[in-house]
Amino acid sequence: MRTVVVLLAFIAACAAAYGGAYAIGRATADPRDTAAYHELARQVGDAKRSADSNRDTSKKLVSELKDLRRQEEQARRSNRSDEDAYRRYVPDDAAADGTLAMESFDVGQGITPGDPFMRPRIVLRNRTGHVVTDITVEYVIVGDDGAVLEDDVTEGASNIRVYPGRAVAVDDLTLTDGHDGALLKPVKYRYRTAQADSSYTEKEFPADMPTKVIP
Amino acid sequence: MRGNGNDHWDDALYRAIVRAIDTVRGAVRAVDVRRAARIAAAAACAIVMLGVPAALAAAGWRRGAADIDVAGSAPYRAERRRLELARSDLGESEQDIGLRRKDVAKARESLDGAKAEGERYRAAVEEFQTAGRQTKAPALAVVSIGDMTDDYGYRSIPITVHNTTSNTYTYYSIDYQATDDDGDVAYTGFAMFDSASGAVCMPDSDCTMRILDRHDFTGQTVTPMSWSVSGPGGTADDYGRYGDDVTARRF
Repeated sequence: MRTVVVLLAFIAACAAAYGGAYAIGRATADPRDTAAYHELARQVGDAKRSADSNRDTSKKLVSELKDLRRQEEQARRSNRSDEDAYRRYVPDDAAADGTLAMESFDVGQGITPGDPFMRPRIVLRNRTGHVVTDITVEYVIVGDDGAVLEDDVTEGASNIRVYPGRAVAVDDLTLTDGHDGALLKPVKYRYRTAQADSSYTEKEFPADMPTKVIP
Repeated sequence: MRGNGNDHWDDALYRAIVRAIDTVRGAVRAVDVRRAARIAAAAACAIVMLGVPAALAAAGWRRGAADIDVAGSAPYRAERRRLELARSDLGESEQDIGLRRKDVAKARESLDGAKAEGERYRAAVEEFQTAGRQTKAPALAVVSIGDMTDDYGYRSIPITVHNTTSNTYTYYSIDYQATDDDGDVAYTGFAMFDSASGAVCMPDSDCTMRILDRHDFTGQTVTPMSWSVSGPGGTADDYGRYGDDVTARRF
C-alpha cells in the first residue's frame, strides 16, 4: 500500500516536473533562437545586401550616363563645325534616296527646223547624297501605237559638279533618227559621283514618266 | 581513597577507551554487506527519484521551447516587417537599375547617332572638297571671262586663257556649267578655240576661246569645269579639272 502511494507520488512528481518544465520552457524560450527566425534574419540580410549592391550599380550607371552625355555633347559640338562646313555646300537638307528625280522634261527643236536634231531638256534633282560629276540619260522613241521605234537615244552632261539637293539640266543636241512627230520617253540614267573610285550607277526612271512629242 | 583518586580517573579513562574501541568495533561490525546494499539501494533510488524527473523536466523544457509560436511572436513579426521593407527596398533598387540601364542604352544610342552624324558630315565635306579641287595644274589657266553679246541669235562669251605650258596646242576646249542663284545647274556646255586667234595656242601666251550657244546666260554664273588640250598630230594630249576657285562670271 505504501509502495503504491510512493509510486503514484513519484509519477505525479515526474508529470509535474515535465509539465512544469514544459510550461516554463515554453514561456521563457526566445523566438530569436529558432531556425525559422534565423532563416528570416538571413533573408533580411540578403535583401539588404542585394539592395546595397544594386544602389552601387545605380551609382555606377549614373556616372556612366553622365559620361555618355558629356561625350555626346562634345560630339555634337564638334559636329557643329562639321555641319557648318557641310552647309556651305548644302544649305538645306536634301532628300537622299540614291536617285536623280525628274523635275521637268521637254523636247525642243534642233538648230533649225527640219534638221535631224532635237534638244531634250530634262531637269534632274540630285538626291544621291553625293556630288554628281557625270550624267547620261537614256531615252526610247515610241510610236503612236506604243511600239518602240528606237531604244538607243542618249544625251549627257559631263564634267559637272552638282551638290546634293541641287538640280541639273541635261540639255544637249540629239539625233532624232528621222522620228519627228513620234514620242520621246526617258527610261534610264547613269551617274557618277565625286566619291573615291566612283563607278557608274545605273537606275531606271519610274514607269509613269511623261512622254513628249519630238518636234 | 584519596590515594586512589588517580586510580578512579584512570579507570574512567580506561573504560572510555574500551567503550570507544567497542563502539568502533561495533561500527565496523555494523558495516556489513546487507547494510551497504541497503545504503546503495537507497542512493540508487534517490538518484532515480531525482534523475528521472530531472530528465523529464529537461525534455519538457526543450519540448516547451520548441513548441512556442515562433511565427506569431513579436520579434519574428518585427523581423518579418523588416524583410518586407528590405524586399520592397530591393524591388525599388531593381527598378531604379532597370530605368538607369534604359537611360544608359538610350544615351549610348544617342551618342552613336551623334558620332555617325559627324562622320556623315565629315565624309561629305571631304567629298565636296575633293570634287572642288583641281586635279592638276591647268594647262589653260582662266584669265578672264568677257561680256556676253548677241550674235545672230547666238550668245557669244569670250574667255581668255593662258597657256601655262611649253606646248603648242592646236585643239583646246573648256567644259563649263552655268549655275543659277539657287545653285542649280541650268546649263552645261563647252567653249572652243576662237577662229580669230588662229586656232593655235602658243606656249606661255594668252589665247581667246568662245562660248557660242543659243542658251541665255542672264542671271546665271558660268564656271569653267575642265580643260582639254591637244598638240599637232595628237601630241601633248592632256586634260584636267579646274578647282572651285577658278575664275567665274555671273551675267
